[in-house]
Amino acid sequence: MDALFAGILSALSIGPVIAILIGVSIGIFMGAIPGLTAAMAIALLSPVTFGMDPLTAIAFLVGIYKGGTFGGSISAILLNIPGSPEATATAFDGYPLAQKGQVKRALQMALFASVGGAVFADFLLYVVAAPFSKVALKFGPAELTFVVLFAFTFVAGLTGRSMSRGLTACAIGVLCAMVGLDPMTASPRLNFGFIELQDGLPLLPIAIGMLGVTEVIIAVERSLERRRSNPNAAAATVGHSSGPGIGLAEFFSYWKTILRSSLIGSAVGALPGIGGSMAAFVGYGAAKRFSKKPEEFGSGSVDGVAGPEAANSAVVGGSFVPLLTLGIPGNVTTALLIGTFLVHGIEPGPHVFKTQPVLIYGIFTILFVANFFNLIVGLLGSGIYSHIVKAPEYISYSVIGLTCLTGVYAASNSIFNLYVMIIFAIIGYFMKKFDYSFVAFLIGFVLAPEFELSFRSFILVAQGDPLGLLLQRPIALLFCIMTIVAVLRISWTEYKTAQHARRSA
Amino acid sequence: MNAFRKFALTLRNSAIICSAMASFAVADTYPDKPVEMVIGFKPGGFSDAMARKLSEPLTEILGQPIVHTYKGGAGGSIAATAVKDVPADGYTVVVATSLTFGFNPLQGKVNYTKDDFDYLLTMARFDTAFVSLANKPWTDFNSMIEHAKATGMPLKFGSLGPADRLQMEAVMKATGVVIIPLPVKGGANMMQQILGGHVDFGLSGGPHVQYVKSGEMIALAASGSEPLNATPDAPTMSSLGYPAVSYNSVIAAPKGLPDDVKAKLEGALLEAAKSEGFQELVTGRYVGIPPMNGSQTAQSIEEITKAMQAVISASGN
Repeated sequence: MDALFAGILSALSIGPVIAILIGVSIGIFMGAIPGLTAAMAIALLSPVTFGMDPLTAIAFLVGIYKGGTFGGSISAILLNIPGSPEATATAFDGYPLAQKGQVKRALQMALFASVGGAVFADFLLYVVAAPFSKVALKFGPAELTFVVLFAFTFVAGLTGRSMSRGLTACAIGVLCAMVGLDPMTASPRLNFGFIELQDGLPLLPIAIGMLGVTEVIIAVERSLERRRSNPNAAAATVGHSSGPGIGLAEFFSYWKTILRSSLIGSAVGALPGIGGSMAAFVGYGAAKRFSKKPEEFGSGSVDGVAGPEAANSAVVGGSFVPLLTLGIPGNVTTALLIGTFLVHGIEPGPHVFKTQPVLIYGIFTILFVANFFNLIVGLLGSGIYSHIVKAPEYISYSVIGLTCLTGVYAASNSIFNLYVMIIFAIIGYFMKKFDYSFVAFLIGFVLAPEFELSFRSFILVAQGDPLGLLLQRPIALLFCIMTIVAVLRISWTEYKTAQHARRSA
Repeated sequence: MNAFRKFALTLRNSAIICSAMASFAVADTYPDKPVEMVIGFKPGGFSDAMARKLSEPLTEILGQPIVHTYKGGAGGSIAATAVKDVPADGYTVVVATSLTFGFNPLQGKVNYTKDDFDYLLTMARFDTAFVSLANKPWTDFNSMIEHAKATGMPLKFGSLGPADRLQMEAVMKATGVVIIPLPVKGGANMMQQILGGHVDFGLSGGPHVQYVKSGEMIALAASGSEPLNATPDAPTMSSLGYPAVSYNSVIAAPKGLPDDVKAKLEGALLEAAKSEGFQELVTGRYVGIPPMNGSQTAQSIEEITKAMQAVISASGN
């Protein structure tokens, strides 16, 4: 108990608090700029922390991590360009909301859901970190295979106009993810001789190309049509006003979505190697599945913003479970954090709870304080950013186009990735025209590598008897059954709807 | 007007003089602009940490800032490919591993060879070991193989890359034991796979040390021919009679550096690697070795190439 109070007090001293505030501000800023991510900010700024005392250094980096997770949603909502990969799902409904003149509502929902998800996950971390880390260890190839398979069917089946369309888009995403090195034999496949493709197609250029650049192409098309029909029309804007914000009562009416996504995010965060993008997609899919108005999704549903944002922010708390209890970073950002821990002589792992309890409680406190600052800084900003949508279309889309180009280049220093972005913008344009879901494509692309690796390992370990192995792994079996149930239920619902439509027609 | 012409003339003359001087005395002026260090890994990893730490004293010694560019991927091959064709003027160096130069070209998937580079420095050796849980019914690599022979059970092996997979194929060929290589992404995931019992043993370049110290894991053998820093008692693969694979952190430049530039750069890098700050970082993470200069590094790349050729032929590929 003494350690608890000592930890809280040490985290609430002036150094760490200022460090968190600066960190959160930097994080939101970096997260909001497409191409710059929280992970990059931490990589660039971690040497700055070497001179600080350990808790201040951690406070600074945790602030960046938390701020960056929210910051990505700002450009996703305003410009349809995810500022960071995990904000991709936020753009699906955030941007339509902005177009409908509800930008402030979307931004504040993203912020509140982020903070809500983060607070929930941090609390969960505080309570169940130690026991949960034991469960996380149980996730081997068999379990991951079926967890990912479940996420696949669940999200791809729900986000498209129909399950077959969703699964088609998902399969194309999986195909694109096959580019690169074969994970088993390390021989290159589908790279057509480009060494740049040896590590596979990069996510950020694809996401920015499909969402941002495609949007620009379509906007150009739209304005050409408008000019043809009415040459004297005034320049259009993305949204006409920033609209009202979101009240506390309205926020709480979305508590179900936020709670559900927080749980998803915490669980996904605690599993090594999956990461924030998947949590956001699953959070989005779940929000749609349980929504009373699933037809609103894709054209501006507030639930569609809350779902992914609560999930990807809850990942932060979740990812601290394996980080602190096992010394295992679950994603790039926590891998960077571990590097900094080690520099400061802190070796995260099963022993750190016993050897440095004050520090651990200090870190827990920092997580909560960072949420608070995230809320304040985000709220101050949302009023300012939301004016961006009032700019005339020809200005805002020029800026979007330019930001896409510079963002992709800045993220990788690679012209090649710009070509990738442009090619996927063209693919995205046709997908949009033929009504294939970006969401399903991206979920296929994001999850395929993990799925392939786990599935092929599972088959290898099974030594010719996959069913026998599956029956020995209860967690895997559970997810296998859930997948089958999900497929049956979605097909049944679609069949019913089709029948209904036929009868009424 | 007159004054302006006079100024323009002076400007032109001084430009001529400057360019003449530059072509005369390269070594005296080198480096007269920042040196670009192309890092063949993603930012934030340990290779990046070493490169940054090395750059601090290097900046002081050369009197020019070191600019870092990240070209991660394909085990350093993307960076090596990028650097191969830049002018060999000493203003671009690449940070990669011994396998980037000694192994990846052998697989025929990259369009450079080990002879396309001037080697400048080996700054560290990764403390790579084959590790398993301590409660397994074996105590080192050989007893694990004996156990597998006796029980006929296949061994699940967590693999970090093609080099260790070939090494295990060679062991399989030599012993007749069945080893199933399961690819694992990164050292941290490897710890999870080992702790969770999803693999019987795996390759690790450092994260295992804390678990060995706490008694949960054991180091079965060093992957290379040199004893480990953190667990010096573990046998080496070469002492057990298997092909050895060492992972060194190497700095190189495109082939054909002017002799005086090479001497200056090589000396500066060696001095930086011997600096207290850098040595503190590498010994703290058990990757410290006495830094090797350019010719020693070139020699070690030759040896590693031969060793890897031996691994490839022993594995029957």
